[in-house]
Amino acid sequence: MKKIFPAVRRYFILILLSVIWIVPAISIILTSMKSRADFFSGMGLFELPSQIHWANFTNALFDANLLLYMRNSLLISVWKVPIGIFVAALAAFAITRLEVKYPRGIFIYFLIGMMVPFHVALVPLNAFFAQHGLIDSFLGITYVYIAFGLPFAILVLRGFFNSIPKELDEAAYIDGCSRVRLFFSVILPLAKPAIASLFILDFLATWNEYILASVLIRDRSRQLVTAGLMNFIGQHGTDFGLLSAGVLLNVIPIMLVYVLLQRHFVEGMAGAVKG
Amino acid sequence: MTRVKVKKKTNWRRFIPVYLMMLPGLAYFFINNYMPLPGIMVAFRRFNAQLGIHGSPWVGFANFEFLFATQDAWIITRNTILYNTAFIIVNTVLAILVAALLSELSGKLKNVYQSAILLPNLISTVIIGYLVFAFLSAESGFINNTVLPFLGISPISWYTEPSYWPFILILVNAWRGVGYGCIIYLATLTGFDRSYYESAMLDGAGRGKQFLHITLPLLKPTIIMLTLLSIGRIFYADFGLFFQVPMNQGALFSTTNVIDTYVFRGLVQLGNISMSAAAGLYQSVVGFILVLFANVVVRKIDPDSALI
Amino acid sequence: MKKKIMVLFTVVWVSVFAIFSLSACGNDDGGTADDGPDELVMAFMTWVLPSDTQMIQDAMNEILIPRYNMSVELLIMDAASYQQNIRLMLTAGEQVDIMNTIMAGYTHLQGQGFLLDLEANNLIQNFGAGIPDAVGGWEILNGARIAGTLYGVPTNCDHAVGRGAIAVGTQFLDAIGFDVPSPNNDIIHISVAELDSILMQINEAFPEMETFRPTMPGGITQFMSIDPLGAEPFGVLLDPVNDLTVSNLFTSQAFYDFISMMYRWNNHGFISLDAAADDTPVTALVSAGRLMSYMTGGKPGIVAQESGLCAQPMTIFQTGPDMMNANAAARFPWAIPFTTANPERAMTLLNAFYTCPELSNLLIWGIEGVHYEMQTDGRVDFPAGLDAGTSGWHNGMAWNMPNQFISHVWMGDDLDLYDQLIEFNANAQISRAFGFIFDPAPVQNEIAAVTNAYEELIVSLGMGMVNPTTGIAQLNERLTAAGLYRIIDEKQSQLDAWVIAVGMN
Repeated sequence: MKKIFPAVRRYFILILLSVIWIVPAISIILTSMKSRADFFSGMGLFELPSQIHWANFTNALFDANLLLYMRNSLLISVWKVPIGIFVAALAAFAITRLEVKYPRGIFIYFLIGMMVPFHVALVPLNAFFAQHGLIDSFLGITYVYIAFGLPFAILVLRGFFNSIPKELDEAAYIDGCSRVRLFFSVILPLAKPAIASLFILDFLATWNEYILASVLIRDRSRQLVTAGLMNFIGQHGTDFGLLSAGVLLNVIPIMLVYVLLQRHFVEGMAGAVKG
Repeated sequence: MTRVKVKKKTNWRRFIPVYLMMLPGLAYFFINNYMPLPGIMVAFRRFNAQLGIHGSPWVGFANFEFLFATQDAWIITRNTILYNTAFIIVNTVLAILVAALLSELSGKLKNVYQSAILLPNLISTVIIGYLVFAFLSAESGFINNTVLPFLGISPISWYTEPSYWPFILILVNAWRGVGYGCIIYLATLTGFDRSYYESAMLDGAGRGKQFLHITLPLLKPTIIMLTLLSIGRIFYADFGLFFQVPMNQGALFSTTNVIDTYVFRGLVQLGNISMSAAAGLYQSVVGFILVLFANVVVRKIDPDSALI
Repeated sequence: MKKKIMVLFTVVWVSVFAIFSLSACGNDDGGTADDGPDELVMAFMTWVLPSDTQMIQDAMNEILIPRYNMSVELLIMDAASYQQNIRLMLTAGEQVDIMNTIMAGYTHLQGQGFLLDLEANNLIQNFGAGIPDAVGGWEILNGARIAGTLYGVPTNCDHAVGRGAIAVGTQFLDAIGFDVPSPNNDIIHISVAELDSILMQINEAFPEMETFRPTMPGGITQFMSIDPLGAEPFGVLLDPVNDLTVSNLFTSQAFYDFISMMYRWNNHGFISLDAAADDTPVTALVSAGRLMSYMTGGKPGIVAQESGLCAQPMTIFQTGPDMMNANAAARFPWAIPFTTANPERAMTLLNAFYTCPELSNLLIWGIEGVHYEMQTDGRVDFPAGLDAGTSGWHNGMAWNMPNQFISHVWMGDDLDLYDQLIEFNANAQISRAFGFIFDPAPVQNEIAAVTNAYEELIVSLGMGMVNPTTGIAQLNERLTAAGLYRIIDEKQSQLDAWVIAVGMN
């Protein structure tokens, strides 16, 4: 009895949570199968239409160019996330393990930068981009994304690096390892769990980013997924079937990244947040 | 004495490469986040496009007045702070609980749950607004037509009753936001030394006691870090959540109008760059001060966990 | 060891630089040739982005280059992003030579210094000589002056609005035995009492349908015979033709009557409980067979327009007069922003669109044979196989373009539609304050506060969900606390000053 009760309670909570989480997801899936006519007939949220309107998905991908937008977002994320994490790792490594002056000061420099209000930086950034022909440039927006993503990544990696014992460094130096070798061959591999988690969170944040994407990229053919989805909302009301289909399709790349990286952060980020 | 001096000189030169390694990050950051800062000046000027930001006339704090002038202005500030505080507490508690539960699962089921929890974060607020409408619509909504009759309660006009919306918005925000925190907590959890739990079980501690006395203390640094970061954003509200989900209904303003929506509504007619910049500056400065303050508090209690 | 480190960070550094400089070069368009035609940028919005923009642009340049030695680049943005993007572009100093000021706000753009004075150095007199006649004379053109200076040029469209107008599905009128004239192409003028009775009857005859859905908050200024002196009714002229006193609309008898009528209709079950929250367009609801009538604005061609949108014959009733507001000519004028490469060339281009039928047709309807075809009666229609959804250029923005009066008439409208519009504008009751444009700068804080309070209360009130007496009292209390009377006072003093400056008697 003592053994069964906790298990029952645990599964009960899990089921409750599943209901809360999955029920809306199911309604979105059902919505994506409905055509506009189905909406106007006043169909209930959880009713399945007589005919599944697969056209929503093909329309989203091809007519509404979602596939194109996803390709653009992917292109940017694939560069932004690794480079961003790499640059952050460099900085975190320098702050924690190399004897720089004022490591805390530099860290605060990054942290404060994170407090810079988005919309205030938006107008000057936009002006800067326009004057240098960087509007619609993927490189331009990748650069901005990397910069805005640095503080959090540095925060996490700094914590993690601090938890790796310094004795390891000394042993490596004694063995004739250069600082560079130390960074690439010792520290980075040890930080795999933190990096994997950062990868997912970073990818998620980049994929979801809306404001900069809508302002810095105006050319329709180069637009990113978040701004592109907004285009589904037209003058004559929103086609929620189409929009739901688009949202579901949008979720696939992230799920893929998540599934691929899961095994790497099983080892955990325990060290990432200590001191 | 002389020896020490020589040492210092050599040290400095040896570390040039080190500083240079940091430089890409520093440079990126400076150009992107610090150089645009002079643009903040537009909040203190009456913007004229032909004069540019720095040529426009200075008006001091005049652009900030609309944020404080009326009773409504204090209501939105109150709403913003209360909601964000509730969000921080609710989302943190839920994320930890869910992470704890998930950590006890294994295999495919765990992966499915993890992905499912993450899913809502990716759904735009426009769709969420529609979903909520499909649930809460007065005439055709799921709740009014199916759930309430089942419970024997008469239909409620959800979109004209402000009192329900704090709960609705907290629920919706939790549904969306828990996944993010959950990843971090789960990753942290799985890294804990199992031996702690084993010895606790040997001592006869049940699941609950294990959670309270082992898991939570070990998680403390993570919790504090994430909470401090959230405090920095306490004056910012998710515009999509507060504008789209209540379907921009005036009747609900008293409980759903936050700083971001107030600024948007007030300025959409005026199109005033200076005033919106002033609002943004106000939000970030307050958030910044709060973070510093919170950090000082944390430092006094538990120096290791302080952010700075 | 040192060398390796040096090599490493040199590589990192160089790549950072490379990224920077490459991206800067990436979008370089090669610069403008000195001896080629002047390249101008024309910015405007459409509801849906067209796919044949390049085609239209090329066709336009075939006319522009030989005739004026200039080429145009069409910078089209969709409605949602136009407001934000055009402002960002102008703030960043990007070249835009002529633009339409819809969404972005003509008065706000001017107030923040984005627009050029069109009479500076006799710009419009020398390079835009065809414009004053094209828009119907200086009386109309003067309606776009802000504090005496001309910053924009109005488009040719309906400037007046038929007040108190409601569109009703004809089939429902037939069912209750209402005598619908045939052919039913004109607006039917009736009294409020008659309208009341008609709605009661169709409501009784079709209880399961939603009878009426008001447009809120826009319906207030559209339905009532007042002049709001701006976009929002904060300080209005209650009797625009005769009285120049700026009053509080919400304490007036007319407002009380209007809200009482809505309250009565709502209590009879005319209005759906979801009317406030649901943002489905009313025309979509009618064509789906869920709604019977809705608010609209009277003008020539409205019957054909609404019937088309609802995919069924509609009857338009009007209970008020045709009226023209103070800012009728300044709602969305075309203007020349300060980032233009050359104001004289920009004005020449604008003049071309106001006077040249071929350019106007390209802009509004597209290329003949590709996007439209001439019909036997002189109107134009889709070529076989094409419709609004599949055409690469069908923007439905004729009213937003410089001069639709010199372009073709689309199938479904009367051939003399444009003459009708000119007559409509000429015969409408014109507000004595026509041409007065309120400068919100001195009361911006009050406007922000009042707007928020207004939006909080007006929709429920306007949809008849709140008791008129208590609801209106509460509205007035909140708006007054937010500073409504300061706005009214400011408007009155600006209006008085304008009257003197214009030399009115």
